[in-house]
Amino acid sequence: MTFPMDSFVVATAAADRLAYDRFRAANPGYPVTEGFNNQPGSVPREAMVKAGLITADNRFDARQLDRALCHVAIWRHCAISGGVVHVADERAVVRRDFPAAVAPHVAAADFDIVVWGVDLLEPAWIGFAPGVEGRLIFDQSRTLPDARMFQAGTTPPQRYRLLHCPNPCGYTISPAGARKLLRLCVPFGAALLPYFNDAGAAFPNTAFDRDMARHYKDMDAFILQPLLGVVVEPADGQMVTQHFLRAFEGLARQQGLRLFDPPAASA
Amino acid sequence: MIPLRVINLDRTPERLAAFAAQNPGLDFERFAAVDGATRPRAAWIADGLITPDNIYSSGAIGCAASHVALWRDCVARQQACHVVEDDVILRRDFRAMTEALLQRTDWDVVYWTWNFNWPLEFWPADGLAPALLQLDPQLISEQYDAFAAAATPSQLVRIGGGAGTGCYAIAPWGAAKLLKLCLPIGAQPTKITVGNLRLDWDNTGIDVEAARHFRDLRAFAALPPLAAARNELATSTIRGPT
Repeated sequence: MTFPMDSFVVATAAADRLAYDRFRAANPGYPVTEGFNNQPGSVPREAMVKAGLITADNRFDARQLDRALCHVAIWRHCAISGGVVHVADERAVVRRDFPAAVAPHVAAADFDIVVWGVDLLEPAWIGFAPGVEGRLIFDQSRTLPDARMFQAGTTPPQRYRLLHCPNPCGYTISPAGARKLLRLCVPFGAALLPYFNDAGAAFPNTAFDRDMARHYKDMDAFILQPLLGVVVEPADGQMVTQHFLRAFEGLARQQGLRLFDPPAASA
Repeated sequence: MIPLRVINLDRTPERLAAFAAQNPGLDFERFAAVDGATRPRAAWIADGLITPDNIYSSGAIGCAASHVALWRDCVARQQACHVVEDDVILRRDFRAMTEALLQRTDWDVVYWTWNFNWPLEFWPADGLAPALLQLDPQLISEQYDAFAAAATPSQLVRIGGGAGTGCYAIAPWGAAKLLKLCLPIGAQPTKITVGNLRLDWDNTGIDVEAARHFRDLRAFAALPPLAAARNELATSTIRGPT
């Protein structure tokens, strides 16, 4: 299978066409490559262990296993096809000028992966310039993204070094990047995943994209700002974000800040 | 070319010398900083700089008076300027980058740096809620030379909060807005809201006061920043020993 440039390979754990229809409805006009969906649980876990896709102690649930299989299949195709591939989560809402906006950043063979969309649930750790690194904490707990306004955005993105990002909803991968991810991630294991260089933050290895995030620092990995894709869903989880908010609250209290309103019950 | 005005106290010539050494070849004009300790607090209140309930230290009052004086001068000259404190390191391509970024005219104030030990709140894309960017202050303190030599293109992002007045560009119309919005400087805190966290940030400096009004201004920051303030408490002439 070859992937036409500027088409999206939609990765989904859904077993039917609804996922593709959902993506097309949110992103009309973009060509979509189908065929990377599987029935969750259709491949027995034991068979995946035997095939070298996961380790015996892997803790992905059936849906995450299926998502992992989808992406591994895409990486394998990319690795042998010789062309870059735009991979989108079925939930992704993509900017309407995506082809023109992404093109300058994926035209040269100088990247392994360019993450251009995230689901906004967890922070990204980004290297903006020498000496300028930090975490970007998104917040959709107060206001959901305005999909229409987001898709109409035209600000040209810039490309920065991506050091950690556990939740992409859209990325462009090169054949070299696909080979690296296959080598670095597979078989998917169960090790606790530290959040980049923050010793106080870690999360269980329960999804393939969290496993991917471990390796960005060792790859030619980039992220675009502004983003070209997001997921518009109510925030839940935000495990790492909550960790950093607690850390920020500690910093704030050290510096004499006061709460001006009781935090919501979930805080 | 937009003039670059460096705030420096008469009694700290060594800081100006260090600034010149750290930013070789940079053309700038010195602005004699106001020393807040030279006048009684009542005089600042009478001048309309602060209100009686303001809680600034004398160093913070002097800092505020210096910035306000530069804003007034910006309005009087009807010319934008870069306001720079004397502990700041500028990227070597500062002039070229800022001239290119300020080709647009839809800005009031553009922060070329901020205090990296405090988050910057900015809008990461159209249609999204503000995000918090927390840089690693330790890393940049170890890499000032590499930072200054960097040539990574910067972009302007709209900001809603941040700390520091180390280096920024101000337009005449932006200066007029800030004067109107900030003076006299009272004791109202800046409110920080992120996720479930809602905090008051005590108004202890002109940066807090300015940040209170970012949402009423066309306030931007450069990403990545084009300057870095050392912001060292031990040598600060605002918060540290004087």
